[in-house]
Amino acid sequence: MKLLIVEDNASLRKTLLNYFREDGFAADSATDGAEGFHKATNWDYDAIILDAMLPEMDGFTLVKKLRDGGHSVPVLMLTARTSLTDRLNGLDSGADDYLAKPFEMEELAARVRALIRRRIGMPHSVFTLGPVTLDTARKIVLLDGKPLELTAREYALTEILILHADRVVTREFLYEKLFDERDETLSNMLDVYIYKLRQKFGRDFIQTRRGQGYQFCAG
Amino acid sequence: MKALFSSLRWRIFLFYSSLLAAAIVVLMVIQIRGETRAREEAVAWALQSRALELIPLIFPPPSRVEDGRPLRPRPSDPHAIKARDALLRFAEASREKNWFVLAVDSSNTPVFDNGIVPVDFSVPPFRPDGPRISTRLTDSHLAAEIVSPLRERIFVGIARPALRSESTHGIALTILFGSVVFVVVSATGWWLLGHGLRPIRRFSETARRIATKDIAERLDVPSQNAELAELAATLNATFDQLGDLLHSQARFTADASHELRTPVAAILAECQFSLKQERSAERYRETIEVCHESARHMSGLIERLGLLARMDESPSALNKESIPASDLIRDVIALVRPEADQRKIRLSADIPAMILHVDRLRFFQVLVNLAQNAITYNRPGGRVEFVGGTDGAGQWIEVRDSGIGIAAEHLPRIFDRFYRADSSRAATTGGSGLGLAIALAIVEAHGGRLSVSSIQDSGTTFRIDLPKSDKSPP
Repeated sequence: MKLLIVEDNASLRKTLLNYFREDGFAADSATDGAEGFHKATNWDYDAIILDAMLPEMDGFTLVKKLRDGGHSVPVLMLTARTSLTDRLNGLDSGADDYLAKPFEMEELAARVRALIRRRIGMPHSVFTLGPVTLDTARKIVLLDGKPLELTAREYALTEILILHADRVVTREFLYEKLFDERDETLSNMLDVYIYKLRQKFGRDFIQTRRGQGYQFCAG
Repeated sequence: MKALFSSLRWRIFLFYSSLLAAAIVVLMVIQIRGETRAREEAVAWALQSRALELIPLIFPPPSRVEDGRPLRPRPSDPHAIKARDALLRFAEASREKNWFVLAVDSSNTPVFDNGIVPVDFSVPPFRPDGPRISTRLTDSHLAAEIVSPLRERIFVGIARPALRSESTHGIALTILFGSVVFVVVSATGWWLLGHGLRPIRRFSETARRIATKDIAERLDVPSQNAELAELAATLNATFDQLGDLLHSQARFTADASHELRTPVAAILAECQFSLKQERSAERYRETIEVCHESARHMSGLIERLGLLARMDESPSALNKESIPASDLIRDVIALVRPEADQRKIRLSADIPAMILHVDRLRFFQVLVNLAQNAITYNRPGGRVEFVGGTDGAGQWIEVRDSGIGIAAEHLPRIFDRFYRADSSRAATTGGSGLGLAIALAIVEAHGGRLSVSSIQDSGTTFRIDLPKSDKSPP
């Protein structure tokens, strides 16, 4: 899952990046509204965390322009303004959720997860596919009821494959969702992660469709 | 009672109704006096008429006079009997009216009276040259006197108390009329006063609503009442000013809390991230640095907010002294030179000999702020000039740069608190959006003006105008 974090305060931006990356998200950041809009329209994010007061273009304008351009990516607005008009303004301009600064990180993370779940039409945080159970809240995967030892990025890859188990997932899509600005895009990194997952799940769960990509098959 | 007399309506009412009462009383006294006199004249005339009627009955013209004594018909004479009956009728009718009748002969011996002649009535001495018929008003009575050719006299009179009771009816009528006028006029006045003062009650109701509910509501300006219309207009203007002030205060508070929320959010988020699991010492150090940086940011912000609040509160708290302008500019240049050198910006000053009367510390702060802006928003190799002078209005100092300029749409707002024309730059330069607001507050506290003009991509000029002070040399 990939997030875009648009926040002009350098400390807060860095902390949010650290927090979500540690949680297994890929996360990009932007320091002002114009950069945020550019990234939001050029990459495919699963959710955007957007500060309301930004230089160049404020958050309200950004989200409105996104919606006008037909982008339906979930947007959570962070704002230091707490008046009712500001909250209504945020939601009316097209934001999906709203959180006032200062906030609890756990709440922000839970709201982001809920936004993403809602977007892919998954009402519950636990998803079961044959012997495999995916718990997106606790970020764990159970195989035959036993938890698998996965790193954050291995979990992230598993999550993408399982949530898209009904179709073939291309390598490009996986790159897009797994890696962000801090990563050097080495083409064999994905192969390494696929190899590790096959070791933990067993060979047959992740099938290679030659020339197309990968598909998760739970038997 | 006290509340009653502090009521404007009551005081005006009492004042003019006492005036009205006094006027009515005076008019009534005049009226009653006139009435009484007219009454007396009417009575005097009636008395004289009665006397004229009586004279042929009591003293009929004699057939002849013997030895100076008149010879009159005998009482048995049918003519005399007729006259006697008429006399008795008249005497009786006079008694009913409280008129007394007294007839005396030429030797002042009473020959007839109707029985009610007051004891204190004395027959006045005969005046040979007096008129034949006359009336006399004394302390005790009003009496008509008629003299026959034979110097016999008849007095028809009325005692004073009886005369007075004759006019009581008129007096009562006058008093009744006066009272009715007083009551009607007073009541009309009371109503008119209440009607005229009703807008004031409406004002107070509206003002109460403005204070408690709706700051945007305004007083109705009454079109019928010039004084109250002016009052309402003045009050409305005052409410407008207070409303603006409240609005800008509320915006300021919201902005200040907004500026403080982000660093608090950064501290909170960073601590929660760091505490989620065991971290390396280096990672904890990063957390502390984030907290330190955010706290310092907030501390600076609080200090600047405090300064602004102080400037707003008491602009008189300036510690003014006389300083040569060139000394002040020299110190400013010395302070910002390292920064300018780093960006290869040339600093120059063209300040004539003039003495400023300013708070040294605060004014220095203004100039340093303007100088730092001029350097920060300049291009490498650019210029910053300090120019000063005097004109008719007072002294001026300009800080001119050859920088990037400020877009026209930002110009009107750059002195607003927390307004940033370019926040991404402010974020890297650590600006709080308060620098120019503080500079403006300080210059205005000095009674001066801070203005800006800018041409994009060519440069910006900030100008401080200081008014002539009493201490300035002419």
